[in-house]
Amino acid sequence: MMTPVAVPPAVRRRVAGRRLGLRSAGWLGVLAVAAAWQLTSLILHKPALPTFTTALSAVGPVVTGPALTSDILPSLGRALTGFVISAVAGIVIGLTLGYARRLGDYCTGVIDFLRSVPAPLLIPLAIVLLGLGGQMVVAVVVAAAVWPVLVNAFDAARRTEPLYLDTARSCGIKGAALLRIVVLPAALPMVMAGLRIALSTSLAVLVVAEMLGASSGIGYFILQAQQTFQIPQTYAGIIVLAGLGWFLDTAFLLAERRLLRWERAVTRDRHG
Amino acid sequence: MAEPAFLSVTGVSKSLTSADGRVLPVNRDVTMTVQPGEFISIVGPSGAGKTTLLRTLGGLTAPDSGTVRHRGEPTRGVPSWLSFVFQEYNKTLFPWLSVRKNVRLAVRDIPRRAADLRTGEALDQVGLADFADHYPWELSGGMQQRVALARAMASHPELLLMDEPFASVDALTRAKLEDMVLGLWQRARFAAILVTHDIGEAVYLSDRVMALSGRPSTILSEVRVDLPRPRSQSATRALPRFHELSSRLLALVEHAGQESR
Repeated sequence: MMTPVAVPPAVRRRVAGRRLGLRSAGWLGVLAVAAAWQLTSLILHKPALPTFTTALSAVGPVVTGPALTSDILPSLGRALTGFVISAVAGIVIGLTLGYARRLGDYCTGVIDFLRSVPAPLLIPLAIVLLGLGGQMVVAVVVAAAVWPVLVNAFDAARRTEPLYLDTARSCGIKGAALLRIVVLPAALPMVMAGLRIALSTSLAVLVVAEMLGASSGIGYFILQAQQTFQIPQTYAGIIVLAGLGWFLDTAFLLAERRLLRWERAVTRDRHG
Repeated sequence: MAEPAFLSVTGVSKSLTSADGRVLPVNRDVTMTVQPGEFISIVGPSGAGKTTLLRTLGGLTAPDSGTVRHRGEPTRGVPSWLSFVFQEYNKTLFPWLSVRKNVRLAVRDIPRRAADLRTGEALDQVGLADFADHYPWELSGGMQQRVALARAMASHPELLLMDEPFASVDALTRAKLEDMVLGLWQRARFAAILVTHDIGEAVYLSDRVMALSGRPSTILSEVRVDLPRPRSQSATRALPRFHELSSRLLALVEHAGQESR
């Protein structure tokens, strides 16, 4: 009798553990950079470069003070709103154009042109169209973050395994159901890779937009701190943003691990 | 007037375009009829266009000329009364769906209760009821092909089209799968068309074997297999008649392969 060749969960956890979070070696690296910062600052002794400990001690008051509700949470909200809009629009448009080959051919020129426009370039235009504030920031985030998702979804949908499509057709699956049941899951590994880039892009563009066209948010906070010579606070803002990015990326990897369980199993199978 | 045949294929020709834009004539003027519940195999030299013919019969591609008719009606697209089993089970089972959900895809447009029932029944028939909640990649190759078979059975097809379904498994598993298909066929009495390069397999399973010529292929000749049923691997394959028919087909296919070179 044939038996299934399931991989024990323990092995699965060990393999996955390597990709998630920081292991001890990773933490040592962080520590080394912090030490180098501390040392450089002590040697140079310039107000523009406070010690690491000074910057770090400014983080506490920033994240517990009024900046939490006036800057950090609004930034998080805008980044996530922009990211989710980018994700949904990128997946739906990318998969549709990728699957509808003819239509996709017409659109590739436009897509390639639009995605080569650096999003910060659109900030002046976005301010004219939407005014200063959160809406404008979200719009600029979407203008930047939608492309990695859309392009990856497009490419993946174009390369859908032909036998998957034949199988679906022989089961009478077509139209939107085909995209949902077959094309999207098959494209998911590439879509997730695009989403991860979109997530970090969201944060990067977010702060630029907030510096130029908002009166709240982490970008605005950092610029304010710099212009009022609150140097430790400036660094604290940067550390908070980096921490936020790290947290979101880790959460993303956790979600990805769940969603793509099958893909890791299949690729492990094929490579022995 | 005579009742129209279950499946009649008339003058089907099909060309494929290669990646560099050349047009390759693959099938030329293929004509055949299939009776209800009949088991037919198609054999031929490699590259003869057996798969292309099967895809045309099943509506996955349209013929350049000629017609495929089901009880007199021309078919359009993939009809709901037939199902496919392909060679590469690892590309026709969706790895993100459990075994049960893969099978259920074949019956998604019937009411939920009935679909669940059919799914369970089909998995039972191939002996995989206990593996319904596993994922395809947790199963061996032979088991995966049984899942594909269950999916094909779930929709209660009148015609089962199989493209080298046993080519990717070991010999013992292959013999077991052949008998499983025979058992299902004997019970449900669908018609079956099997594309294979294994002449022994074609003779063992079929009522009739069609030998294709080299490309562009047409039907060279048809051999009626008058071996008694029910068949069994050891007894049937030991019959002198089995060897006689196999040799005849082998000679046909070898000859066709040389012609096309």
